[in-house]
Amino acid sequence: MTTTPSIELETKNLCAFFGTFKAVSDVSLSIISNQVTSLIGPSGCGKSTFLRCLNRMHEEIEGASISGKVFFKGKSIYDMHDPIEIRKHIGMVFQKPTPFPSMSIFDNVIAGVRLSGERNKKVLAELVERSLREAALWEEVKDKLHTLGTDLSGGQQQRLCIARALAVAPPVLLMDEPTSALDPISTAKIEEWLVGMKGKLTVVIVTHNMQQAARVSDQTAFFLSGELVESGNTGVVFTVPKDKRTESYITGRFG
Amino acid sequence: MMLNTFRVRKTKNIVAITLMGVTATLACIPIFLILFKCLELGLPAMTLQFFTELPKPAGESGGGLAHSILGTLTIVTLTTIASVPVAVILGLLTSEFPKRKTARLASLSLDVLSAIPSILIGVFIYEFAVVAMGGFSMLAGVAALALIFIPIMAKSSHEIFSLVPREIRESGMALGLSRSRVLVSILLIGVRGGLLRSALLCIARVSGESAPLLFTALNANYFGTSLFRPVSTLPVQIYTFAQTPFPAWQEAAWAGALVLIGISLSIQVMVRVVGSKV
Repeated sequence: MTTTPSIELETKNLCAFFGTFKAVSDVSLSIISNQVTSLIGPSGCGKSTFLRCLNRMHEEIEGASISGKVFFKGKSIYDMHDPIEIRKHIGMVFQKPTPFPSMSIFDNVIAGVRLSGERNKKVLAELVERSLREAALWEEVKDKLHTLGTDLSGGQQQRLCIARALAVAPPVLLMDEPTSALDPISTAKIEEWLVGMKGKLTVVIVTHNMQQAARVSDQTAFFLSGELVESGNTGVVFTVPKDKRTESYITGRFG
Repeated sequence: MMLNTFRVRKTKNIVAITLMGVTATLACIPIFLILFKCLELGLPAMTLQFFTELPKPAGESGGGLAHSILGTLTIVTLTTIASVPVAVILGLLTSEFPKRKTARLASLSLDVLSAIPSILIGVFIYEFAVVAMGGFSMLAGVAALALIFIPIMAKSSHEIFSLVPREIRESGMALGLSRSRVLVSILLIGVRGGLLRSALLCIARVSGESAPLLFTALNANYFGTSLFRPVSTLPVQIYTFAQTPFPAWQEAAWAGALVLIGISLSIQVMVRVVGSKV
């Protein structure tokens, strides 16, 4: 398959199913490298399901299946035998902060690499500092790395989860409504981080917050009833949408 | 009007608090009665000898229940070692793969097994192990206690695993870890405190069982050093001595009961300490 070098992820006629229910219908979308792409749309429009197809997390739900193709750097990920390898390259942060129970902040950050076999203590300690710095959490936790991750505040927990995902050094990070459970200050910190990561990391973020999409993303894709209605440069989608339905949604007439 | 609803709420509050006090007292009365009775009748027999010696012949004073105390500790330790891994695996199977046929079958069996009276478990092991092996043995006792231990702990492990949100497992898998890695290194390690507490409660439960041991490990008046011979345990020894007409043995039975209560009490304290530490 041929893709231009600046396209990191690409879907071709992607459909996602839960049993016989079609949650995502015939979506073809290109995600540009080192940019932030936001997926917007009303609840139940299939944007989270679409996101979960991008690193093969969708198939972990019983009865779930897909048709169509997903390409990562030009390779079809659903033709790979093992979904584990692809997830090391395409990380994910969930809606609810999910620090691992009974694990310290330190152990949480290195969970991915340690459980994959890295044992060198010096390497691990450096990785913890680098990942926590990248996730803008280092200054707040550097003196209590060995306390429980679950003892942090909700916003800190979410940044810990970002640090944990970054520690595996994935070129792509998928974020499923990462700030919807957080207060405005924590949300602002994560948005600031997102803007800072532009040019270094490809991010696909699902959000219910249209201001957030407008603030942080370079590209925006609008989903409705499982279909991709419109996608393109965020400025364009928000100011001169091509489709009437996009306009109605972003001006708050439904959703 | 407002004052009226306030009065009604206040009255309801007083009634509720009184009821709570009464029920709490009712729950405490039997515990204290048992404890006082055992202390009153058992304490005189609790000498150093009681913990170090075998019983003296009927009618003689002195001697102890060292063999029963040691027997209970041995049989319960062996049961725990044999049961905990099986119970945890069953808990994982039923909580993580609930739709598999094996999991559904296991779940049903555990429910049924945990509802069977313990004496029937003793009879069952008697039929299948004692008769087959040609005699009562510690091993048969361990088998009977394990059949009580496993369903209780498997069901509580199931609950413990089920309380962990699905997103935790997904986060692990999204890091590129295999499902088995996530289950062992994140889920199992994450709830180790809960599993430990569950194991301790099961230990407390089986260390007081007498009915299944009557048919399996029976009793002995020597130290239990072989898996293939009968062994004395506190509950069975208490049962045996309490039926005799000899005051010294009856006293020893009360002291044995006090030791059992002590074991149970220290486990409960451990559960609470573990609860705040792990």
